[in-house]
Amino acid sequence: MDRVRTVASLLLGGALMVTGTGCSDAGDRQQSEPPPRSSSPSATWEDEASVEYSVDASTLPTAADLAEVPRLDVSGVLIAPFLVMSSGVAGAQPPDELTWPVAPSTDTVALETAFVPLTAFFAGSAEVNADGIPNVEEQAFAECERGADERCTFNTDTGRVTMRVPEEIDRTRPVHLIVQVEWDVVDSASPSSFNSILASYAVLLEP
Amino acid sequence: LKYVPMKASVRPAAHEPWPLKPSRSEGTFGGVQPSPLRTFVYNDQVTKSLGCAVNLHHLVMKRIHRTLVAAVATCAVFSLLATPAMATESSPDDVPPPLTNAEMQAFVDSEPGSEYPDEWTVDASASFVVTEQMATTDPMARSNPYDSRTGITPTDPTVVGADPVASSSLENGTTAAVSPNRAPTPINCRASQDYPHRSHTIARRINTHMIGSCPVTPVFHSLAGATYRQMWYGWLLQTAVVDVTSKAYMKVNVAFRCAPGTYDRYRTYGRFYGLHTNGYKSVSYRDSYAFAECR
Repeated sequence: MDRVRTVASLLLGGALMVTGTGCSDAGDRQQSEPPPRSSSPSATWEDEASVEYSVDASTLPTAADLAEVPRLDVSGVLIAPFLVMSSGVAGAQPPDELTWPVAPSTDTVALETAFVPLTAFFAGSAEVNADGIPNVEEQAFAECERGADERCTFNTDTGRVTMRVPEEIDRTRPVHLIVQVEWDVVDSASPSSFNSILASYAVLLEP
Repeated sequence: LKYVPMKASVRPAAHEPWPLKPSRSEGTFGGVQPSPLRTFVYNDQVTKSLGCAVNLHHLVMKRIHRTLVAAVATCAVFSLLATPAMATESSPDDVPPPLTNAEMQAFVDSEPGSEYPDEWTVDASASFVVTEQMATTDPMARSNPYDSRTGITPTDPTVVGADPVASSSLENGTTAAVSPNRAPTPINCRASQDYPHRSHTIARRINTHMIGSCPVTPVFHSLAGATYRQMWYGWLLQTAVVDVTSKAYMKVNVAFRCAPGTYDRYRTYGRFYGLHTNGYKSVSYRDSYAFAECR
């Protein structure tokens, strides 16, 4: 009888060793599985979200060229940036309150500079908070990247950059428009750096 | 150009896909799926060792010494197997450490597909090519090849010689000699960049992967990326990474720690640069946008 029990015990232990399932339960098994794959290629990628473009290097500014960030021309109203940030310098903070210069409605805004921006960011909202700060969740936004596009172009023919306001920004009523322009800069003092300058403007566009 | 005509006010509840543009195929944008609170890495060797213990206990009690020797040896083997891969636990409550230089370097040096297999999604994007014209027009090309700011696409008709087909002559892995009377042979490198997304291995981290792959070993190979978060006043820089190697294949993870519980829109701006022995340099830019939840 002992031999039978010995053999049975050995068989049981051997089975545990071979299958490796003896001490697991359903809960462990469930938790042992890898986390849900929440980023499959189809979920992560979109065809049109990556953009390549070209640019003439002679149009790229240095940091010194943008030491004084140009004003934004909106229907003849010159607007100074309320925030200028550099990717290489931390510390710039957005204002706690914001005032909105009023400008007549227009399809394009312009910058008195020949340096083609890397990107232009547009965000429009009908209402703002009491302090003049827009609610980001109420903003409709659009971006333009450097490169040819018929809906939003960087035009330097006249010696200044003109940017067309995307049609996604509703201008049938007064709109609080934020324009952020980004230049990538060539810094001769630190050529291996990876810098850009971002200037944000605010304007209340009449319908 | 990138337009996203939508209002953020339509933000869905947590763990629901953002109703953005349709994905390329099936799947939910952003992939916000709940993950288990605790991740337990199961290991069969643990229970195998337990089986050893059962056997040993019985053999000792029954004084079956000859079998005992064999069983001890067997258990020793299993124990050795189990030791390096013991069950581990991780919790999202643990604050992930920031990436160290060594970790980043290991990521770059590792072979393709050997790390982060569950989140390494690569865009089979078009190659890029740069002509000698670009090497002469870029003021940074002669002083410092790392910081060229000239980009070009293979299909750009305005650039002389920017014919991607021409690069097929380089498939044998050779490079043309520099000649003053002959334009260097174009070299196509591949630039791939995925979208800003939540890390699946480290909590509270947003990753964007970049891969640069050239058919021949370049003199310099550089990837630079910067990830921004959308604010009411525009884009706010979150992190910037620059890495340089002389290898034909390199990759960089533009990663940063995010605020848990947030659901923001991110943008990663990537620059791919290669300087080749025949004098050609190749530069390409990529921009990718995505919403990502931090947790």
